[in-house]
Amino acid sequence: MNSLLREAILKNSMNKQGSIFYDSAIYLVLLAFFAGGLFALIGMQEGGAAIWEQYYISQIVRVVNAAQPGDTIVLDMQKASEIAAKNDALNKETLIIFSSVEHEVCVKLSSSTKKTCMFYFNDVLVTDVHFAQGVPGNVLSFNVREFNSGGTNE
Amino acid sequence: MNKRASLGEQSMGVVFIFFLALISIGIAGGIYVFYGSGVDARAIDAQQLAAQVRECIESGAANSQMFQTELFFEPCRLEENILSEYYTLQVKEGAQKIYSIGNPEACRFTGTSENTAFPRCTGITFIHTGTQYEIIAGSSQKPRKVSG
Repeated sequence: MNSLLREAILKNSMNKQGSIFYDSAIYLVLLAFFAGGLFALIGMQEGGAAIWEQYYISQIVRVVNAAQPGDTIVLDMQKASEIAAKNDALNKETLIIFSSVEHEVCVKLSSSTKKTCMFYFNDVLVTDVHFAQGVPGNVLSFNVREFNSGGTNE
Repeated sequence: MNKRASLGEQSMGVVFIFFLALISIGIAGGIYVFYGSGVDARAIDAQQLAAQVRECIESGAANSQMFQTELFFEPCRLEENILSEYYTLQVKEGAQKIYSIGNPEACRFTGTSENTAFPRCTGITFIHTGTQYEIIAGSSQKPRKVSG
């Protein structure tokens, strides 16, 4: 009788251990998914590159819309280049792209394949786009011309 | 009796998942608030458009006939396709509407300033050569993500 009772207690406790392990494993898996998703969400922000792209694009469009033919514009790009460098996206070819034909300007500060673009309504030609480092600071300069006056490639 | 106990433990799992979901929503909301909902430059865009049209009228580069026949784009240095796609513009000379594009009526709705589906508008009134002009300009352009 005692041995039977002992056997029953032992079996019951083993069942409980198995149950605790099973429940903990499920919770750990759920926690791992949760933590992984959380870090992925934060990592995707890339230091707020998306917001800075929108800020710079809206400022550049504002400047181009206010520009008159004959103007030379110089913009401070120090912060933008720091963010792009941090995201391994500091490339003079893709940092700021003007398309005078489409009246569009694009900014790319992250390593993703997408860039942020906006159109400007001022019918001007943007030429001689140049990104200079250590002027001091990093600056972007470009010239604004009449649309039909011609100029060098942007 | 063991099965009843197991049922209780499984119910706690549902509560655990509920709390996980609640915390996830809170953290995602915090990230969204921290990084912001984007930069809205439509108001400044509209002001710049209105100012450019005003300057065009005051400099004499375009007159009411050019507005009525839609020949003012080049002298006013405005890109027609972009204007028609992303902007609202209405020009009135006195009481007469001489040019309109987009939906300027949407600019008159109160309470739409917080709704990004409506354009952000600005209006200016000025007198040039004894005639009153009214310009209503609106912008619905937002920064967009493009591949490549």
